[in-house]
Parts: sequence; structure tokens; C-alpha cells
Amino acid sequence: MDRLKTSLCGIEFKNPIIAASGTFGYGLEFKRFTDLNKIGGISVKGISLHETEGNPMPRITETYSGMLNAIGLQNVGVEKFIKEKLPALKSIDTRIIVNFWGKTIDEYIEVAKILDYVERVDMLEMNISCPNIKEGGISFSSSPEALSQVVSACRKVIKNKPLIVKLSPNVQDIKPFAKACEDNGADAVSAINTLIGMAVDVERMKPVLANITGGLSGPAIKPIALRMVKEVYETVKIPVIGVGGIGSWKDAAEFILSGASAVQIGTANFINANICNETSDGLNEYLERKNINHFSEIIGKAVK
Amino acid sequence: MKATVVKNTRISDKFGYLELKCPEIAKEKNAGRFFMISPHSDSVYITDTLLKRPFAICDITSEETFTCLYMITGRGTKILSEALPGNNFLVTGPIGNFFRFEKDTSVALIAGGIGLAPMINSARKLREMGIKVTLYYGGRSKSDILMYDFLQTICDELFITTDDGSLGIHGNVLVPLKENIQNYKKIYACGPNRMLQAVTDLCSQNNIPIDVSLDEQMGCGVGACLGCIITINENNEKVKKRCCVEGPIFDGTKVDWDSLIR
Repeated sequence: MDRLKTSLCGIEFKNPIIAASGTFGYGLEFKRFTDLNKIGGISVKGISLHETEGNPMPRITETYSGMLNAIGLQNVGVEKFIKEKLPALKSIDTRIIVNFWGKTIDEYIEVAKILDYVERVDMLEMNISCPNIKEGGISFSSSPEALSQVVSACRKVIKNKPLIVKLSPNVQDIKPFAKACEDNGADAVSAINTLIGMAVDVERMKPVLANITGGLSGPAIKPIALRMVKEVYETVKIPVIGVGGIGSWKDAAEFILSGASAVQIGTANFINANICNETSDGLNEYLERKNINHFSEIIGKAVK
Repeated sequence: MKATVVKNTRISDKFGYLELKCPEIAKEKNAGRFFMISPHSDSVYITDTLLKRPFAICDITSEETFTCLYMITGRGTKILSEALPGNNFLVTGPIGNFFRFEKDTSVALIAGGIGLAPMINSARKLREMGIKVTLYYGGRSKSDILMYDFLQTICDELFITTDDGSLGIHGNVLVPLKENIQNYKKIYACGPNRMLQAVTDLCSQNNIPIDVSLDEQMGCGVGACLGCIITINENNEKVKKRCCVEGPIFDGTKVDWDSLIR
């Protein structure tokens, strides 16, 4: 599948399909159901300095063509992640992207410093846009200035790995945020994280989620994600990783045609654990049918 | 992975069961495990009811087929209830832990409502192991009691209860269970959380161990999404467990019921 082989920020990928953070656990959860060696990369569940308990239940609910989640970034913490989760990924031939977050700039810096020296980690993805934690997260994506601060602070301590910043769609205009990432040394941006939404249980007359609001994902957000990928693509020169509602090779192709250099598949992993590999197979067949030697030839083709 | 509908049998306007062909799931030897199924057949790419739904493996009917008991409660189960023979569905499974039955012990199975599903497979397993099959099965009224004649053939002793007294004993499963609880070395239960909590209380009072099978809203069914967390009291600490892969069966006396009953 040479048509799909690619280099992202200097890192070789066998294909541009990456399992999105928060939907693929620490990777091994899916081992029984799919060939992890075929997936381009895995972005693991967002890691923080300390173990995080997450939000009270209920944490998820289905909505029309989508789902809301308010997991609250439950994770084992960076130390346990390196000791207990990462070694199991050693034998798997795929790129490991570690999504990380903090409640303060200092926490971001601390986690980044630690991860920067972990051999098995290929790239870092900064989560500045989780809508489900009360402190931090969202506030860093409240203004391009706040975002610049945290990105440049992390950039200073990340010396060995490419840095991706995952953008929030919960802003009036995503373009200045993408620009802030590029200006402060990010190597790539991923767009988009979930959109803030809500659902109400009419029998109980209360919000379905204990957190009241949650992040909307799934096919419902795909048109918004595509529009934002296009806007970011037109704004920055660094690669854009498209994410939001991808559930088939066709969806992935739409993102590439809108400017994505790689794509992440999230919620669709829940419906079909093999979807990442089916997507790369489908993309390959599509390119073959279209007589296109390499997918990079069509990046942004629909919006140029 | 796919499962093909062999037969869709409607029991009433609210209940029915699918016979599905999927050797990977039908080969399951233990009772109490479950699988996830997409409510839409895979003939068209429909994303409306997006997520897979968890269902207990109800009865293994051949080397390749098993059944899935459904109760129509929302859009997903409504669509699933209209499945036709030959339809293919995306499935994941078998998933989760299972009931660990021990030879030569006197046990009772407790089912409430749709919680009957894993108990059918459990009854088969107990009989296979030569253990007397006792089932307490409660519902709101007569129309909620499913497959009565069939249950008589797979159980040695069957206690039916209905809240309104329209069939069997008047009241909930606790009414007959209270009388006999001392006869059992272990209880296995599946049903609404309030019932499970009440049965657990009764077991605790009598120092009888109990395993409960819990139902929680699930996203992935593989332990990745962390959407189905159950809080368990372990060594004076509250520990978060994933219902899908660390459950669905838990020691009832350790479940933090307050966090489950909302």
C-alpha cells in the first residue's frame, strides 16, 4: 500500500489512518478485534501528570447519529502509563501518539517533559480542548493568546518529539487558534475535538449526563469538522490531521480532499473495531480506481 | 464480525427474541457473558442509532446459533425487533466475565424482567453440571413473564412472582426467596438495580454470597471508552471498574448501589 505510506512531521507512517484519542484506550483493548500492526498510528487516551478519576456516571449517551461523552479524561497518570501500559505496545508495529493534558501550564510542562524522553512514544498530541473538565482544558482554548502561552511553554520543553495540538471547535473562529499553534512551534494540528452538547431525560426531567453537558462526536459532526479542516488548511502551512465523524473510507477521503494530511477515526471504533483497517483498505482501492499514485496528490484538492 | 438473523420470534408487543448465527459467539461455554449488536442491519450505512447495544447471550441453540432476548424500550430495540431472517448485523463478542458455578453447591438464580436472559443460559449450565436448577423470576404482571412453559422444562424448581399478583406469587422475588434463602450456598441475580440491591441486602443479612449481573449504558464494549463505570467498594476504597470487561458480573455486596440507583 505504497499509495498510503506517508511522513508526518518527519515520522514515517504506513498509512495516514490514526485511531483517535479517547476512543482506543491504551491500544491493547482492541487487540482481539483488529490487527493493530496495520493501523497507521494510535493516539492513546489523554494522559495527565496524576491519575484522574473522571466524572460521575452517566458519562455517555447516544444522540441522533452521534454520542455525547463526559468521561472527564479518566486516566492512569503518566507514571503508570509508562510503567504499565506502554510496554505492552512495544511489540506492535504502529506509531504511538500520546495525547496529554494538564490543569495548569505547569502540569502540561511536567507531563510533556516526561513523555519527551520516552522511547516508544513517536509523537505528542496536546489536548487543549477537552470540554469535560472544569479546570484547564477549555480555558486554554478560550483565546488565541491563552493557547499561545501553553503551546510555547510546552514547545520549549519538548525537544525530541513532534508536537501536535488538538484544536477545539467550540470557538467563534478556529483560524486564529490554528495560527497561534503554528506561530508557537507546533508541528501539526488536529481538528476537531468534540462539540459541546446536551441531552435531557424527559422521564426524569434531568440532563442525561451527570456532567450536564458532554462532547458530541460521531457522524453528526462531520460536516462541521470538514468545514473547520478546510479553514485550518487554508490558514497554516503545518499539516492538518482531520478528525470528526469519520466512519468509512469515503469520509476519510472527504477530509483529505478538504486539506487533511492524515485522519483520525474516533467514535466509529466503537461500532466497528476494525474500522481503521477497513478505511485504509478502502482508501487504497479508491486511489487505485482513480489512478492516483499517492494520496498526498489529493490533499486539499476539493478546496483549492 | 457479523451475525445473521435465523429467526425473529415476537413474544408480545414488548418482548421477543432473535436467533442469530455467529459461531464465534455460539461456541461460548460459560454462562453470563454478553455481546454487542448494532441495531441496524449492515445492508445500508445508517448512523442514526449509532452505538452497538449490549445483550446477554440468552440460549445457545446449536454450534453456530444462539438467542438474544430483547425488550423494546427505545429506538434501537424497536429497529432490532423488526429484524428479518437473513439480515446481517455487526456484533462484538463474547464479552465480559461469567458466572462461576461450583459443583455440588446449592444455588438459586434470580431474574427480574429482561434480566431473565442470562439466566436461561445459566440454567442450562447448572443442569449440565448436575446442579439442581432453582429460578426465582419476577415481573410487574403476567405479560412480563416470558416463556413460562419453556422455563419449566429447563428448571427443576421455578418460583414466579408478579407485583400485581396476576401470575404466581403476589409480590416481588424477595417474598419466596426470604422463605428459602438459608437453603442456598450462593445466589446469582440479574435484573433492575433496585431488585438487585434488595436481593443483595437479603443475602448480606444471611451471610450468603451473591453475584449480580449489571446492565450499564455502554459505548464500545471493549473497555476503551470508560463510559460504563461501576463503582466497587474494595478495601475501604471506591474503585472504578468497567462494566463491559471487568463485569458485567460483580460481587453484589461490594457494589456501590447509591451510585447506580439514580
